[in-house]
Amino acid sequence: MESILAYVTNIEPILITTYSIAALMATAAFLLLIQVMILRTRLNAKNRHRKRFVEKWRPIIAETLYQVPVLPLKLKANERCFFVEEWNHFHEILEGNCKRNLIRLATKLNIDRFALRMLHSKHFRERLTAVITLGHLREFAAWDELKEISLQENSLISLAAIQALMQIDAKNCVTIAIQLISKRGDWPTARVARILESAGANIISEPLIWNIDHNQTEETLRLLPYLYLVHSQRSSPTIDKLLNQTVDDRVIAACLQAINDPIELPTVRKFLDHSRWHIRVHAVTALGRLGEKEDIARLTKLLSDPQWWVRYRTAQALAKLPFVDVNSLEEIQENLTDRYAIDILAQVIEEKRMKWTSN
Amino acid sequence: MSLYGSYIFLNIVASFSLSNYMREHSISHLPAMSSGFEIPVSIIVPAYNEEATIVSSVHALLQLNYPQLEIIVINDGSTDSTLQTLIDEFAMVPFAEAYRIRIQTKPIRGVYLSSRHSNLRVIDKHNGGKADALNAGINTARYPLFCGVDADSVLQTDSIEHVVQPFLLDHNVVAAGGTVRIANGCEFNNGFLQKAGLPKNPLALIQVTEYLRAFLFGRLGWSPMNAVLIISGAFGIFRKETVVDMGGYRTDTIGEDMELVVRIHKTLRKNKKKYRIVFVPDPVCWTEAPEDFTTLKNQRVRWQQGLSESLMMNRELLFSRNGGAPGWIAFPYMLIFEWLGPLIEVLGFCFIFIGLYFGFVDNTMAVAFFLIAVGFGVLTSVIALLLEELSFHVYPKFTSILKLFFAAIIENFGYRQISAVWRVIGFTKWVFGKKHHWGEMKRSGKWQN
Repeated sequence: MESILAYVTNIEPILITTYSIAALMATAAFLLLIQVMILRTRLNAKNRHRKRFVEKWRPIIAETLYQVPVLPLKLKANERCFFVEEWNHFHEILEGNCKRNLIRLATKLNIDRFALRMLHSKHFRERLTAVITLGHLREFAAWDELKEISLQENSLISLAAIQALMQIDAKNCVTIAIQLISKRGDWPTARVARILESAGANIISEPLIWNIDHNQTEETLRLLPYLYLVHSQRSSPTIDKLLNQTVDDRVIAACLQAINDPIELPTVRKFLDHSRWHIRVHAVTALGRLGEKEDIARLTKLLSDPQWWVRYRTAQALAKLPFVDVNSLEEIQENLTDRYAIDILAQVIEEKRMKWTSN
Repeated sequence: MSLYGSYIFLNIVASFSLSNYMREHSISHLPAMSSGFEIPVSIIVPAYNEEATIVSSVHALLQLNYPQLEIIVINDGSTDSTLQTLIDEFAMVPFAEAYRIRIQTKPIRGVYLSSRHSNLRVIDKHNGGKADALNAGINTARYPLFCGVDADSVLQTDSIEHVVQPFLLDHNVVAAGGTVRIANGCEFNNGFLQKAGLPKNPLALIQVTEYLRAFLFGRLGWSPMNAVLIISGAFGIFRKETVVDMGGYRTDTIGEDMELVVRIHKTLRKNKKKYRIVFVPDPVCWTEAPEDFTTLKNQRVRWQQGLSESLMMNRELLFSRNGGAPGWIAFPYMLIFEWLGPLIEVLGFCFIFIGLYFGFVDNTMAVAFFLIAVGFGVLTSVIALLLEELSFHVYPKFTSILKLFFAAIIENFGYRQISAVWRVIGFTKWVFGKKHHWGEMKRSGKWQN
């Protein structure tokens, strides 16, 4: 007890330490504030610079959409990054011939060489911008480097590289892309779909189907979500084979989503009684796309399914059939006895009516 | 001291996390990088006596930039004309919705669909509180993701797009929260932010630094560890099936937003399920901060009660076998620093004042320790300012930084202490089981015009 009291009363060293820590904190806070101010000053300067750049260059880029300006154009070294950003932005939002002019303008300003150099930047953002720019430029000289980048672990830059390769030479890239897609679980399906879609069904159909046919289940599963992008006459045999061979729910669901050929109707009908409700949902949805008059009875039966989603999608499928209008839906409803079936059909009838009114 | 130490640790984690995010964010918003295959989202807006603001809120929601979106306003037994206002403004008509009751709620009186906007519905139900209203919204939501939004919050036009990104990148994500900022002092037009600014009211100004700290490192710091325990009720997106599996929001707590997140952690960890709860640093939602002491006090008391309930209702998560970072780091942190912290702080003040009075605490020593507390307090605020400057630069004016720095200093002289006292009151109310109800916050709603 005495020793504790002695320690407490001898506060001199503690006091010095305490004041030192407080001073240290205050100094650190002050230095950080200065850093914040410096960053803000630099940001403001950069924004002013960007504003001047935009005022000068945006009309030139806009003019390029119609014809490449013949005036002698030169970019200052500190304007190149702004130009690339602005140019990429235009590239993303425009379609058709304008893009060709944009490429000619960029080549005239040596952006291709600049982007190739930027590919080796130590800054990730610059490398990524370079990859995107080289893709838009269709810069074949970057092919090998982009191919290497597409193998990198980082999903963002690797996927951007695949997109760039696809823009440069879709035919040669598609095999590489599909093999990588089958191995990479980290690439978001939605973005991959967009890239494959941009290549077009003619290019992706063969290699995609080949890889689905010859890969292991896990790899096939990564490719199946893109099956709907393939020409239906090409995907039908594969879908048929998979649906008759597999018992894996994920494969069945993906195949049912991809089905777009009436020839597959008998196969779809087989899954209307599947024990898993989400398979039934995909089956009725497929029937909504392809169904015939004789399917009305099958769908009507499923309006009483124990699962709400099956009932709802069934009612929607009925409403989507081209030969079923609101009056036919009301007729079906009148003959129903199950309360759940009546309720769900009432909702979809209301939805369909609303859609008509708003249209 | 240990509290500030933990703040510094969270700051370091948040800095790395933010720099990674900004690296990817800067490029992911190029049009080609956005997918066009976004997951549909149901926006659920619980409303109780919101006749003055609900119309402009819904108009703003209808203008959100997102491809597939439905808006469900839940009129939770309002005693004013909230429902009639909605019916008149949006030409709502009764609609035969065959919704499923997957979570038990107070009875629904009717469902209305707008004949002008096919993605707008109003659910009229008996009063059951905010959590009950959200549950009714979940029952009627059709999309796989839902977003709970306060009726008086203002969203950025691209808010949903930002907060849905984690769901697109990782299918294990079950919930995502976004940064909430203070609306006071900002300019709004047609329900959208026109120009960010700082409030003139000193109380609101201090809350701006508080929110910066809370969101930029308080939550961002926990995100890489998958240990985010709070997703603000003002704006958060959840995977509907996960929330339904959990039984929805609990109606016996006022901190239903935090309670749900802690429960998701507890349940999914217990069941050894792979999941992620993430935080998106983009400023996506603007909310009004109280400008008077009474309203601020009520808010802080309510928050502390909510925190107490959330932690105690899910105490099994603490040091649980599969607890991971939420159970072994975030939960104890919340328990010690956020739950018991104010009590210890207030007791410390009392001890120092009594000690100074009776002479067993040295004057210079008390001053020195107070200076350390101020120093750390200012330092953490300035780090938050730095993170803000490195990322979103929401406040464009140079003077804004100086104002925020000034607020970071003055909040240490009275505000922090009184705030701790209010939280102790909240803690005490929780101990004695006193209940708060929703809809008590006094708001000016100036931006709604």
